[in-house]
Amino acid sequence: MDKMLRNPYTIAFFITPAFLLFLFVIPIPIFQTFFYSLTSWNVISDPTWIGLDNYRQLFTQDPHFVKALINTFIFALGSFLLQIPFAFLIANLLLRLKRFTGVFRSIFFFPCLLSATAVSLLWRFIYHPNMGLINSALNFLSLEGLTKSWLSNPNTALYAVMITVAWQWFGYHMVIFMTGASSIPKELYECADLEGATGWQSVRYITFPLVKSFIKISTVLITASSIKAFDSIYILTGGGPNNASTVLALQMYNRAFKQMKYGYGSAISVLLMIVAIVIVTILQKAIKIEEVTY
Amino acid sequence: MKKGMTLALLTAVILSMCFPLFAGGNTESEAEQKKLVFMFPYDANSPMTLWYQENVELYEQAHPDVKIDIISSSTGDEYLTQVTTKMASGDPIDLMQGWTLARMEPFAEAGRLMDLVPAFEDDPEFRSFLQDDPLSATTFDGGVYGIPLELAVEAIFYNKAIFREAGVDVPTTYAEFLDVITAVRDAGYIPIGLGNSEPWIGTIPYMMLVERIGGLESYERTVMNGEGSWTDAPFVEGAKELQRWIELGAFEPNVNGIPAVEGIARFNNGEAAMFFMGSWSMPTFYEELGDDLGVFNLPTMEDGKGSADHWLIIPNQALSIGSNSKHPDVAVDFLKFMLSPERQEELAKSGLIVTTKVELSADDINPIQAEIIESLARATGAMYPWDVPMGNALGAELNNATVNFYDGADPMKVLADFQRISEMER
Repeated sequence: MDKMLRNPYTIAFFITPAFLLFLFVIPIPIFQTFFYSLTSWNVISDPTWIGLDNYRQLFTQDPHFVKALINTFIFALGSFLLQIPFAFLIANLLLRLKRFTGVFRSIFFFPCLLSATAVSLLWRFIYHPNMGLINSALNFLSLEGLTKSWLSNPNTALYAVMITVAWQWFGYHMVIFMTGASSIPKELYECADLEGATGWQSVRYITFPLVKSFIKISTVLITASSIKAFDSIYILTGGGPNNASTVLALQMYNRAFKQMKYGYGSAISVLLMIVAIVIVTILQKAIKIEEVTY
Repeated sequence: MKKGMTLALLTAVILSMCFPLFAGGNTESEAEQKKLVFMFPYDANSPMTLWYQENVELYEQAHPDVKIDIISSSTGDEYLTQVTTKMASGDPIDLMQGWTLARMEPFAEAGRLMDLVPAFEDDPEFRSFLQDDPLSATTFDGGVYGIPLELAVEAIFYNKAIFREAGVDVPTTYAEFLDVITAVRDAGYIPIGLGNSEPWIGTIPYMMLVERIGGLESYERTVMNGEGSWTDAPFVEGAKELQRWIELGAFEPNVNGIPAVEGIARFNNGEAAMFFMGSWSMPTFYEELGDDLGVFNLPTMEDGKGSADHWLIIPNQALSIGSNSKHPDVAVDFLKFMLSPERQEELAKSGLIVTTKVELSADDINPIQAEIIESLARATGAMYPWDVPMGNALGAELNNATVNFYDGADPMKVLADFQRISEMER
């Protein structure tokens, strides 16, 4: 059996089915998308070759492209700022708990298990301008001036979606950080205690450096998934009042599936892929992790 | 032993990879039967879906050699994707329900739909049973690519009980209409129900207002021919009138954030007095409100060029035959069956306004349906709801633009922006 498994031909043979599946589901459609982005195609006729016209139109004539691009960046940055520090904070607090750590961890992690659709529908009701939880609470506290139509106000729509997504996913990163932080030996904290370090200082000088690599993983994960975020935005605002909360993925969906401009939609998706690759590469290079040992 | 196991393992792997080959259906025994593929949207609330299913059953009973495969599992945008995917895959579609005007044009231009003119020429009696006007919405370059089944009208539905309580009658002048809004609001009800999270609904009052101010002329020039500009006076004035309604308290606060179904629920529950909507929703309204349901068109404005006899009409839900149908003659026969007087009578009884010259007695249809049919007979002009002839892309932009009016934005600025967008999308 051993000999058989070490034979390169056998290995190739067993990998082939999975590899073929992968090939036809990921790389080949990506190349096809590149090809279709250079055509004008409404899927019921043959594609017509137009070269870089889709890209030219995207950059010079599309009234929503710039807004979508900016919103994509805001969404990615905002998601990072909302989720990572908060997840880190909660992770540290939970690690200091003597009892019920598991209970709280499960509670905070639970939203990740729900479908994004269910969460978005739930928050649609919470954000409802007249009957939702938020505005009702503000009215109850006599703060009517602060009530807004959260999802249909162009200034708040995107941020409302960011909060929903953050609510769902911060538990995921919290669990990652807890896992990372729990591998730090207790003696380090005891030493720091003996030398008079406060809780905050021990977090800053012990926990944070040793968990850095996990924070980097979380950052890359959040950035990559926020750049292609679609479902929550689609359900909560549908692109927002008059495209105020539209992002690149939504534009791609509208152009391709609603307007039957598959060539144009492919161009947007190619651009989305390039944006994602560039940003993640920059992140990988920028966050330098030096191995810290104590 | 090891060799034996290896062999067994390899054989098992190869066999399991071969299973998909056996999944193909048997095609020999169906040489006698003619199989038709019929695609239509599935909408649990629509009487159309039930009517289609009945049609299939009845036709199969009358023609034992025909088997009709129904594909009906999605609605709206998903249905569009389902249709285009099936077409792109090259599978034959014999009959399908599709769209009209600019939404049907890509299909007609791509040669995916069969031209029905030869079928009309072969059977003049059949052709004479169809009304002429609706067919113009499915005619491109002289060919007729579908037959609309429904003549939908967008009008103002109202709750008679609330009007009585507020002490008002159906307004016959525009000034009376504004009085109705104030009276209903004072009586404690929502004058006009609206859930503008689906922006096309909020566009309906705007289209009516612009028509009353600028007449069908401004609609023809700007919307249909592209000669006029969106910043022309009637369009700006129309928006300002709409904002005047908002100041009078015609709508709920935050109307842009209210889900569409909620707006409809307000009307169905008797909390809102009026509702601007298409006649496809009328069967549901009638079910909920019964005799308290009424309908009217926005009254004529005194110094305006439009008229209350000009209606927003859209021929909708067009039945077409796929150009790659394997049995076009059977498909045409089934089409004629669905458009026969008996089946059309059934469809009309469900509350839809049909596009054939079917004779209906007053007992068959509900009074609102009769009223709408009568008003259409008296109509002196019609316009399509603008987002349909403008196409998917520009139509969506128009609906998004009108959302801004409800937010209190400056109409001139919104329309100037939209003018720029409409020039780009051309």
